Amino acid sequence: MLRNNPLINLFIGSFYRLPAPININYFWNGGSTIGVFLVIQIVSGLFLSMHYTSHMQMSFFSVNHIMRDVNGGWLLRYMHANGASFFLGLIFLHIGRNVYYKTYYRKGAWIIGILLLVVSMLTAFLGYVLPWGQMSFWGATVITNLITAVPVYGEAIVKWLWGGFSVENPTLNRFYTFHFLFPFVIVALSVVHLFFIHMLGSSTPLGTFSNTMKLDFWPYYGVKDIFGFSIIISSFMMLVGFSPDLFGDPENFKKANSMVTPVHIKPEWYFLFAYAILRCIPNKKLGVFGLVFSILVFFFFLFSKKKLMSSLFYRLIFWSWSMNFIMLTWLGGCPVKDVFIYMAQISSFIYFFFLLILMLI
Amino acid sequence: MRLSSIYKHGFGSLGVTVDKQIVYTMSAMEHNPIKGVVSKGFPNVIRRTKESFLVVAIPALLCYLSYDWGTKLQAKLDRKDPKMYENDV
Repeated sequence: MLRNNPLINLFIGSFYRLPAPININYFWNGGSTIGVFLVIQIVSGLFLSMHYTSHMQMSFFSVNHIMRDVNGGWLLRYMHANGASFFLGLIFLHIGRNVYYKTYYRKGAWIIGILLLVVSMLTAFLGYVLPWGQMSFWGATVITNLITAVPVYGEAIVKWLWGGFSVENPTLNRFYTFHFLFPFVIVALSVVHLFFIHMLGSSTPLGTFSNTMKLDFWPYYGVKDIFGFSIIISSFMMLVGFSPDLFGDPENFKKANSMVTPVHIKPEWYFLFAYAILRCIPNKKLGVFGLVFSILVFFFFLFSKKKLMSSLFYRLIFWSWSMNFIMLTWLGGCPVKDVFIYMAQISSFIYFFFLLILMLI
Repeated sequence: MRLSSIYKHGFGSLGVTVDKQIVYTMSAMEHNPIKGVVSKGFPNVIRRTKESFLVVAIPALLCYLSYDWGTKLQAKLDRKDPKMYENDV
């Protein structure tokens, strides 16, 4: 009788009595945990936006005002900054789980998932510019200048994006606008993502179908998800409370100065793997292509043939690729010196080559 | 939710025929709710770790060795004080 009401039917069918496989492990908590962090980011961002000013003369000082004067402002700011790290870290883990268990055969969910990754990375990049510190300004300058690699129209596009002849006040204003807008795009894409997943139901670690044997989502996976949230949120709050600047850059404690370039310009940790690929290629256009292709390459998994459980060789290649990914992230943060560039070139080759192997086997 | 199922039963029906429901429960006579958590659970963790250990540890070790080689070599190339490399072969 409850199911006659369309809203209650939606709730019951998509959550309360959603048929779920019996053998999914903790890696299947990833999606819901990412959703929790999306909510944390939106709510903390909303409250931050009540005190933030996006004019280039005032933005840095408004962030300082939030940290020192606004009640709980320090907590909001640190939760938002570190929430972004957790959000993207969990997305990487989620994608890793999907590659390991070969769930990319679900084409709709996979395409929306990679789109979600792209929009999330874009949102994080836009958000990092807003405090208008040295790294905010120079990171924005470096990354937006990459658009000049587009043949013929590159210079015009980048000036249109900047709203001027360099990263200045119009750029900050529009970055704030889009940073506010894109999370709602992420929410909409997430609903579509869930729609595609619920069409077939969750995948399983063995890759087998589970239509003949299902559990109700609540209480089994509902409680499992809540347990997973509590572990992750505890570690998140420990980071926010005890070491909130661990993932930050000291340069961002200084106000942006277009006349002083930092010695080492680098983005936040979740972009470092792509940054390493960009920097190690001597040619500018090819470097930009490598940066963009390092994300878009995941679309090529759509052409893989689905196979059941991963073989030993697949798992070895997967873990080699994952460790190489961590090394690429470290290399992206290293200064531009011979040995590190040489290592980044080899790591970048391994990154693409091993992904190709994973797609083929 | 298959589209045909949505048309028929509304948004939220998964489109599969659910003919049984698994419910996990304990015996009413069982007084220990965490029975076997350590005695069976811990050996199971050891078994699962042993099965995957080499596949994870070998790439991790190789990456650590490359990181160590790279940082040491770069530190060597960054030396400027002649006293630091007067004993070089």
